[in-house]
Amino acid sequence: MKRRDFIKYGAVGLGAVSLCAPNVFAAGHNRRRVVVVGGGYGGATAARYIKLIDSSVEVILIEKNDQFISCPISNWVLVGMKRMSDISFGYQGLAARGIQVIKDEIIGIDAKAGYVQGRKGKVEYDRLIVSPGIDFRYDLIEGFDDAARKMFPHAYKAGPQTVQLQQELQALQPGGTVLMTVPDNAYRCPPGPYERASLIADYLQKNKKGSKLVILDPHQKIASKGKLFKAAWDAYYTDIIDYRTEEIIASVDAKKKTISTYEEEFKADVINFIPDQKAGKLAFDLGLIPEKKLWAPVKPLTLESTLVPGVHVIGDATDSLSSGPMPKSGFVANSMGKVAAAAVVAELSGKKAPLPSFANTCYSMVSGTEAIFITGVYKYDLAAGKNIKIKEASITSPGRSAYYGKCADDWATSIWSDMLS
Amino acid sequence: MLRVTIVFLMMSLAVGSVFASATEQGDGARLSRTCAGCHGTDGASPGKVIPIIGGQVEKYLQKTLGEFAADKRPGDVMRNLAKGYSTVEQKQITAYFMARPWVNTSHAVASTAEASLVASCKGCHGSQGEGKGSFPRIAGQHPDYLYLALMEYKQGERTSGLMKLVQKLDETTLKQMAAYYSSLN
Repeated sequence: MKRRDFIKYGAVGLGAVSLCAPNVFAAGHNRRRVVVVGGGYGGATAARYIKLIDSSVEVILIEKNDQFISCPISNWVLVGMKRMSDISFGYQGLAARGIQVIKDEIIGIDAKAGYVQGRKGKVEYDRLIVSPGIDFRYDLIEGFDDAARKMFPHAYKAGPQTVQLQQELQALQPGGTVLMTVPDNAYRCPPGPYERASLIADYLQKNKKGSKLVILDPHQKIASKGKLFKAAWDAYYTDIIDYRTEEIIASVDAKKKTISTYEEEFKADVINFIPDQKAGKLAFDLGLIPEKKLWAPVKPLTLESTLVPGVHVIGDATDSLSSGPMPKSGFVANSMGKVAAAAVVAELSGKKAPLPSFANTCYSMVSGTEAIFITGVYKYDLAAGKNIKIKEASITSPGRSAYYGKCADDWATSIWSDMLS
Repeated sequence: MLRVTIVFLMMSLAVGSVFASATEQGDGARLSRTCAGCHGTDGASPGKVIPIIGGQVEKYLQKTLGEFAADKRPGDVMRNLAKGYSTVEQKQITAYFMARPWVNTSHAVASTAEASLVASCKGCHGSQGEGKGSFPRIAGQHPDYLYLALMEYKQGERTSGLMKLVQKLDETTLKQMAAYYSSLN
């Protein structure tokens, strides 16, 4: 096995060198090293499960933020059901397992030499796992300049924009109007915008008498858990929700605070614009996205990139035509993290990667207390040579219930501990 | 028809055990990792209503998965997910979780109940609620989960032999029983 010498850090990273170096040097010259870039649902899980499966593998997690902030449950924060501190976590649990956590932004790769380049320095690897998440396609909309990005928060990557939208909703006067857009396929968390709409409607009903919520959706109908959302909206929010389909936004105007389709201009007191999406910048920077494409193609058995050998791509950034018919969800990213971890550990020991096994369990709140859900089981079909959906296991809940709402809360507690503890 | 079903069941059990012993223990781990998203790593559920399954009695886990797959238990996600796995895979999954360490709930509720309250539970669930045969461990399980389960038995949504006894008990008593067992180690 090729030997790594050290983590090469420049002046900025000297602190990291003096902290990390003893560890790295003491490791001897024949440890296998996996570098994981991106500490979200996919990456944190992958890093943790490599250690759980084989603690002798050296694992380095590189993440540009100090903290993990969860997208699932961030809709709850928008309406005051949870606080930001409830969905924000440090990486100390992973560090305690012997995973080296480095704060840096990775901007390049030399796959032949086997290292990734960060802003602070470079890190060598035997195998690389990346979990790039998503970015927004602002370029599709006319007028989406910096002012517009500030004026129309997406709040679809949990963080400062989650707080901004929560504060805007809180400041809304009774009788005001909230407008939100739904992104076109493929996008992160298919039921996410509809759960958000449900929770905002519930919030307006309880706190902002006479207010309206306009939803502009490019789809012909609700794109996920449709019947269940519709039943809840018909039961609870007919006075509040104005749901419009096949609405394609062409332009925005930050000065006038308006957004426009080709036919109509919309004004509102609060505008939550969730743009169309593509794989996170990291995936493009590392050459994992084919020309003119938006998502990273991978091998279905191991989630290794079909473009760059030795690099496994997991989570929302993967191209579902290659990875399988899984939705871009946190649970699937968690599942993919485990599949990539098992594959990498096996292959580093000269063994064949085990067959993959994926699942999805996704709850959406339709009110402050009631939830609906969808599940999925996905397996590798040897004859077809790809991952397929098991139909009987991949269906929605029969209805909505407060018990499912409690399960949703448990879901979060559990999956966060499965990633970070 | 019944005989055909029994023969089929016996065959699938036989095939299952042969297969399980012939494959690496890794198959159970591989399939079971996805369960951790809701049940916690190795089934040590940190939640309140999603039960701890790591270290649970194996026959009970098998029975439960089978009942979910056959729509014989009240609906939640497990009714869908169980259908995603063959009988063989279900056995691999339950064997994996049975062999994990049991981690007691962190939500145990201090109980002031007299031991006589649970005297009739011990025959099946063991003197300390540790479970035996196909009867689950209930000691150290989440109190909210235990209460929900008792309520499902009370309302007849779930049935299992002697559990119909709880139909005579009121909700306060059931809550006390749940608290009692949650705090046992």
